Amino acid sequence: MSITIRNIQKSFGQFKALKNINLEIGAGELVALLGPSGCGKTTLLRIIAGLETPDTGVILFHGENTTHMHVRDRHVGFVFQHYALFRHMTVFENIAFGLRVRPKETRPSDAEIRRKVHDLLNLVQLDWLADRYPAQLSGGQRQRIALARALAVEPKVLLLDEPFGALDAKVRKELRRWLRRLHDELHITSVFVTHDQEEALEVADRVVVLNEGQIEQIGTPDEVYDHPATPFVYQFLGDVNLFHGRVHEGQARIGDVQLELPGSPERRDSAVFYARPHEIDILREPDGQAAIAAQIIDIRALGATVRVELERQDDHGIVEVEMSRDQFNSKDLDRGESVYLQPKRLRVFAERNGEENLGSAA
Amino acid sequence: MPPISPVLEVVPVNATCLELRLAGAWTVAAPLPAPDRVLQALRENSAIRSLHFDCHALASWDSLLLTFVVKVLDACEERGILADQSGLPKGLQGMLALAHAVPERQDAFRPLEPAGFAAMIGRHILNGIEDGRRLVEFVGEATLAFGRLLLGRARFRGADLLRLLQECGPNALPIISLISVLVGMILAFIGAVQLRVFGAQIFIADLVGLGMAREMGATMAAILMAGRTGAAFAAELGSMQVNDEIDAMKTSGFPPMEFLVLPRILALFMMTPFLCLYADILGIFGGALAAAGMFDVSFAEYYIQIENRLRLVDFEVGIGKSAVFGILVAIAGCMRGLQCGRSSTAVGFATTSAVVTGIVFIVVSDAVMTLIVTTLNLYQK
Repeated sequence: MSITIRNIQKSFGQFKALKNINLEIGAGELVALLGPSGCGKTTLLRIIAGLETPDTGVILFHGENTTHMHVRDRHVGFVFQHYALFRHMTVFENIAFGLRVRPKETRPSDAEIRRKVHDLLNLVQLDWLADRYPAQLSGGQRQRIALARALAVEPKVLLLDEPFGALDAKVRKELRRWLRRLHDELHITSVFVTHDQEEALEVADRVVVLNEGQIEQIGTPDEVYDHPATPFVYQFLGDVNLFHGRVHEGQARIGDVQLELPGSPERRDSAVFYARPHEIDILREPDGQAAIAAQIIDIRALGATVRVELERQDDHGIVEVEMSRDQFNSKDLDRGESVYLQPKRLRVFAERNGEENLGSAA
Repeated sequence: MPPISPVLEVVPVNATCLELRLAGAWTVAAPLPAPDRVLQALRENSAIRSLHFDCHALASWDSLLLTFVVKVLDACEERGILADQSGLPKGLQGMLALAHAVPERQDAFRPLEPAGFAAMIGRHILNGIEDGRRLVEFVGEATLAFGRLLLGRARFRGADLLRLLQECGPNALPIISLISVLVGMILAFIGAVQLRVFGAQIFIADLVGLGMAREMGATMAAILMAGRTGAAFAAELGSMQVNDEIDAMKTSGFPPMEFLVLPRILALFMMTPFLCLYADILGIFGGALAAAGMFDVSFAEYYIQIENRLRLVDFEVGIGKSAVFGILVAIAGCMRGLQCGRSSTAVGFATTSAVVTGIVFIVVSDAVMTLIVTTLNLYQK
């Protein structure tokens, strides 16, 4: 079942939560809505579910207009951040709820409900918990039960609102892999909302990056990570270093340093260059003109990687560099040492609203 | 180097484009050309759509140039003229960017304009109308759900109804007992002070009996239920709303109106008449305690007086009222619970509001029903 979202707008009072959203979600796709809190991603999800009505625009399920269809007729499964299990029912009853409450004509028999609930419990690998109450389960178990409950009504669309947001890092990682496997098994069109870029990049077929009620970019995880369309996407998908300089004859000039730029960018007297921490090399000796002098001010080891914080000698701010522990050991760096930075990859964005001019005033 | 005096040239490049050539030292040292000339040129030639700067001959500048440029740019913006800033010195562009860097967001906050007296009244009235509209909507939906119940098509769990019956009935007995006995005694005391003057203490029984059966039993039971059960309903449904359980129900294809509201209304509707009868009897008993203890009326006299004076219709009216109160208290509690916001503080508001709404409903409907009963002359039959 494909979902088409056309010109959706939604305001709460004076606040514009969604500004003209257009989106196509293909049948059987797993799409992540990614953005900072308050960007409108949950509102969009609730509008798709029918829990919220848009001010303008239409939602089509498989070409059929569902904008004004009641939630219960849309056949969506919804998984909430805080599980929303019914507290006074056992796990079994929670999952059976959606089936038991159907009108008589379409309600399956008791035996069939029992079989189905156990199938679902097996699917989420929690068959042994059928008789417990939600309060007796761990967070990860509750969320899997919530997912089983959402799947019980045989939804055509599965919507997940920050499904792993309330779980600790390890369980979260486990569950998102499990969700991906589950999706590969069931192939239900799924949309999930997250503010965690790692989660979105790992799980989704396509990622939709939202900011301030607008779509910044739509693409596969590789596309949005490797070819971010806007500075916002670039900064949201990971740590960044900014360099101010200019573009001249296809080269980036940062202070006295010249660096090759990919492509053939047009001449620009003021530009901001972006580089991720792992895209910068630390050299002991200057390599011609293509290195920026800096001093190491801090070194932090974070598990398998090491983060080095450096201050540029020309007083143009702090640069963060990330490398593997092996690389770090072979370089033998120490705090206070003077070294040279060489970005392996620089990115420059077309100007928007003069925002990149801002820095050059310094 | 002696300062070169600042020079401003306004050069029309073509019919729609204007160029400003700045030369010399635009500093505080020499009097600057006023922007008026540029503004005048813009005013006079309305065909101009774009403007740019040429600063190649500019020797030096300070913030005075900035104020000049800002005035020109503002004028351009007013007239919808595209001003190309790229010809300006780099540093100046940076300062302009800083000056315009954080435009105030128009949609990020709700303006809190100081409300005048009239505006406040207006807002209250609008809120009242909105509240009334939601009440009508809720009652309508509840009625539809009740209709489905009568058709045997409503869907809720019998176990839930039983639990609610237990909660609304037997669990409320201790507090109802205490309050009813005391209310009966208070009625007896209030009446006795006057009646004793005439040596008519025996009529304490009439006063307490009629007062409890027709009015106080039903009202006191209902008010206790509003504070106890109505508030509990609002808190229960409110926290379900906060935990997304209500949304979860809707997406499972299930109307919360049938599953949550209907059994609650039913439970209170079924239990309050019993509570009312119980309160009547205990209130009369309380009156007997006061009469026998302090006003020389024996239990036997009191009992005979009650038996002679009270008729079934007196109890029927009170019990009938209490059934209506039960429904209203349940509606108030469930409505406020479902209207609850999504934060935990909202649950508190919903609870308080449920009690207040419940009591308002009780008193208003009581007034109406008393009026009807009196007009129909029910007691005289």
